[in-house]
Amino acid sequence: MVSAQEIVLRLLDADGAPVPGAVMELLSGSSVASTSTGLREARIDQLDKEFVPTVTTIVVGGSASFPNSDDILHHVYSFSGAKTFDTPLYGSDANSQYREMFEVPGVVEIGCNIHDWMLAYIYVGESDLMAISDDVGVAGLTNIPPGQYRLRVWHSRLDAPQNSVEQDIVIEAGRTEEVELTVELARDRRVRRAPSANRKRYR
Amino acid sequence: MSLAGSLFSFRSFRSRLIVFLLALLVPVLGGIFYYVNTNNTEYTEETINSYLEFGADVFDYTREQQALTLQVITNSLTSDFGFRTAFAANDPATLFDAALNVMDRSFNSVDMLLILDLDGQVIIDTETQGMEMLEGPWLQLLNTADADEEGRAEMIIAINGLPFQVIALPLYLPRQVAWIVGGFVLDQEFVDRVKKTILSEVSIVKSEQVLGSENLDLEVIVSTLTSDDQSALAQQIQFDGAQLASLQRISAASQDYTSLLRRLYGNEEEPIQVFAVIQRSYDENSENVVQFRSLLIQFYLLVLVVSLLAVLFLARSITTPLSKLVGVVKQIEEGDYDRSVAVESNDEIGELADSVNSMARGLAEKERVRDLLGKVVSHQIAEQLLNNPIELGGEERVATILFSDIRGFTTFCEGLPPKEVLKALNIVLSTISDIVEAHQGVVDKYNGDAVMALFGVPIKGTTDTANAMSALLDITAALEKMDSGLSACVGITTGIVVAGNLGSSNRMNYSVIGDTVNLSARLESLTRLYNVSNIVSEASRDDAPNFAYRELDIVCVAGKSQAVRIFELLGIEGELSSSKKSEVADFSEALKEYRYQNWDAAQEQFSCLQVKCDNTQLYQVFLDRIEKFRIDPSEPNWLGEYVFGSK
Repeated sequence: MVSAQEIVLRLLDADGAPVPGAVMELLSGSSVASTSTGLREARIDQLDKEFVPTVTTIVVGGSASFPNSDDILHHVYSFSGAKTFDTPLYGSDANSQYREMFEVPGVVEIGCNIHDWMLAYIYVGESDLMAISDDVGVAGLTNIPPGQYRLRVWHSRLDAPQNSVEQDIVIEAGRTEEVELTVELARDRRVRRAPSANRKRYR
Repeated sequence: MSLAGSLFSFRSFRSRLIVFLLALLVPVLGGIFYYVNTNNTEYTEETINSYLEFGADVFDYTREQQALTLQVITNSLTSDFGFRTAFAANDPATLFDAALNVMDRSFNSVDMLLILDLDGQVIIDTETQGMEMLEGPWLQLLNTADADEEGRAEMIIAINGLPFQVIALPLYLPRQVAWIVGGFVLDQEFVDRVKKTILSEVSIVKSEQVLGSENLDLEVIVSTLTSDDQSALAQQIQFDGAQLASLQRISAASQDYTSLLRRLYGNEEEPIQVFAVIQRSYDENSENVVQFRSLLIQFYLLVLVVSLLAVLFLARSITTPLSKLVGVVKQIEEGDYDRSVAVESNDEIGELADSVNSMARGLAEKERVRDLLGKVVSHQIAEQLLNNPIELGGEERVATILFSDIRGFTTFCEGLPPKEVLKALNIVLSTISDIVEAHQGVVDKYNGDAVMALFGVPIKGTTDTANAMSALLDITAALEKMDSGLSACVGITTGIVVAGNLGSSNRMNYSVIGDTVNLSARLESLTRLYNVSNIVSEASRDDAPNFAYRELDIVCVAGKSQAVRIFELLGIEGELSSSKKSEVADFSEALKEYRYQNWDAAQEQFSCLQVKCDNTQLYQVFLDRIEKFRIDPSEPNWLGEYVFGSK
C-alpha cells in the first residue's frame, strides 16, 4: 500500500530568514513502530573538533554511536535530563562499538569536555515521523498515514518553553500539507570556537 | 609739610639711605622669590599629581590583573567537568562545597563565588548575603553580562561592607545553564601590594548616606595609613563632584597628604559609594622646594646684610665728616669762629669742609670788623653799615635829636690832671651812652662833654620821641645821682633830617643833618639862659604826649626866621607834685599876661613866682624883658616871641 500523503514545513524566523536545524515531529495517539533504521541507530561523528551532524533525531529506544574521526581525543558528555552520560576519553576508531541508548523522549545536549565549543543536539522523539529542516528551512515527510496529528517544532534557539511549539494538523489522503511557520529565535549563548583553535593544535 | 612728606622725611641721611635700599631691594627680591617659589610649587604639585595619577593607574592595573586572574579561574571553573557534574547533580550543598574547594585552590585569587540560574535566582552564595533573587548592583552586573556578546561583566560591589572586584561569566553545560560570579576582596593585602609598587599610600573609602539625612558617613575600609591618619582622611576627604576630580590636601597628624580619588563603586546618586584614595606625602615631595626656598631665603638675608653693611659704610663715609661739619657750623653759628674742620678727602665733602673753614675765617674777619665798628660807631649804625651797601648820600627821615651837655664840667675839671679829667668824662659819657642805647637811641657823636643822640634813625620805631623823653629824664636823674656837682642840659627836637653816610668815599660817617639837628643844639644851649635842665621843641612835645611839660617861651633862634614854641619836660604826666603843678599854672598865667603885654600884671606875677619858687633866674629873664619892653616897646603885631640875635 503506497499512499502519497506528504507534509512540507517551511520555517522562518522573525526576519523572514529560513531556520535550518529545526526538528519537525508528528505526534499521534497510537505510537507507530518505525521501520527506519536511521532513527534507531544514529551516528554522531566528531570531525575537525565539531559534532557532525549538530542535530540528530532518534526515536525513543534508539541508540547513538559517537565515533571519532579526529586524530585527537574527545570526551563526549551530556547533563541533560533526557539522558545524562559521558564517555571516557577516546581516540579515532577506539569507540566505534560504543553506543548510548535513549529511553526518554526529550532533547539531549551533548558537549565535549575537551573542546567547549563542540555542541550537538539529539532529539529523542516519541514517534518516527521526524524531519530536520534543511538550509532553506524546509523539512518534509512523505508516506504519512492519513489522520489527526499534533505537529511539534523544536529548535535549540526557539523562544518558547522547551524550545518548541505545537499545533494540531490533519493529514488527508493523497494530499500534500504545506505548513509555513514563523518563529521567534532567542539569542544563542554558547562557547564560540576561537579562530586560533585550529592553528595552534599539536601536530 | 604734607603727610607723605613728613612720613618720608628722615632726620638722618643714613636712615634715608637704608630706606631707599630696602625700598629698592625688597620688592626685587620679593618678586624673584614669589616667581621662583610659585613655579617650584607648581612643578612640585605637578610632580605629585603625576605620581598620584600613576599610582591610581597602577591601582587599576593591579586590580585588572587580579580581575583577569579571577576571570581565568572562574572561566576554567565553568568548564571544569567535576564542577559541571556537581552543578548537574542539582544539589546546592554539594555545589557550595565545590565552590569553596575552588576558592581554596585559587591562592586567594578568588574570595567569593555566586551561582545564579538564568532567571537570576541565587543557587549558591559563598558570602551568604541572604539574597534569593538578584538585587541592586548584582542585577546591574547580570544585565551588563547578558547584554555582552561573551556574557561577561565586571564590577566593584560592596559585599558585607567590603569592596569586591567581581566578574560574571556564563556556566556552559555545554550550553549556558547558569551565571557564575567570582570575586576577590580589595583588602589590606591588596592595598599593601599596590603600595609596594607605587610607593604611595592606598586606602579604600566607603561613603554611605545616613538614612533620612543629607550627611554622609565616611568609613575607611582598608588602608595602608596609620589609624590616626585614617581618621584624618575620613574627616577631611570630600566626595563632591568638583573635588572628586581634583587633588585634595589632607592634613594628618604625621604629615600632609595630597590625595587623588578614584571611584570604585556607585555613582553620585547612590547611597553607597566606594572610592580608592591614593595619597602621597606632600612634605616628602615638597622637601626639595622647602630646601630650595630656605636656601633662597638665606641667600636673600646675606644679600640684605651685605647691602646694609655697604650702605652703612657709605653713609658713614658721608655722615661722619658731615656731622663734624654740622658741629663746627653750629659753633660758628654761636659765634665761635676759631674752629676748623679736618676732613681729609678730595670729594665734595672735602670741598665743603674747605669752604666751611674759609667761611669761618671770613666770618671771624667780619666779626672783628663789626666789633671794632661797634666801638667806633653805635651798634645800630654798625649794623646798618654792615648790612647795607655803603654809599654816600642819604634819605629824608623823621627823627628825634637829643643834644646833651654837661653843666659845671669846666669847674669840675679845675685842678684835676688831664687823665683824671678824661676818666671822669668817660664815666659820664658812658652813662649817657648806656641810657641812650637802653632807650633804643643811637649815639651819633661825642663832642667834648656833649653827646648827640638819634632816635628813629637808622631804625624807625613807634615811640622814638617818647624814648628820647625817657632818656632825657634818666640822664638828668643819673647825673643828679652822681652827686658830683655836674648836671645835664638837654635839648630835644623832632623833625625831618637827612640821614646817611657823610664824608668821602674813603672815609665816611653815618649821621644826620638839617634844621632839626641845629635847633636841637640851640635849644640845648638855651637851657642855660632859662636855667632849666632841658628844652624840647613843640614837635617833640606833640609826639610824646604822655609826659608833663610847661611852655617856656616862643623864640626865634639864630639863623632861623620862624619862631618856635619851646617847652620844658617836667616828668611823667600825673607824677608832678602839687606845688610844682601850681607853679606851672602860675607861670602859664604870667606868660599869658606877658604875651598880652600887660606888663604890670605880668611883672607882678613873675615877681610873685620868683618869691615862691626856686628857679628865680627863669622869672628874672621875663622881668628883665618886661623892663626892656617898657622902655622899648615891641612891634605892634608882637605875639610874645623873643628873638635871639646870635648863637
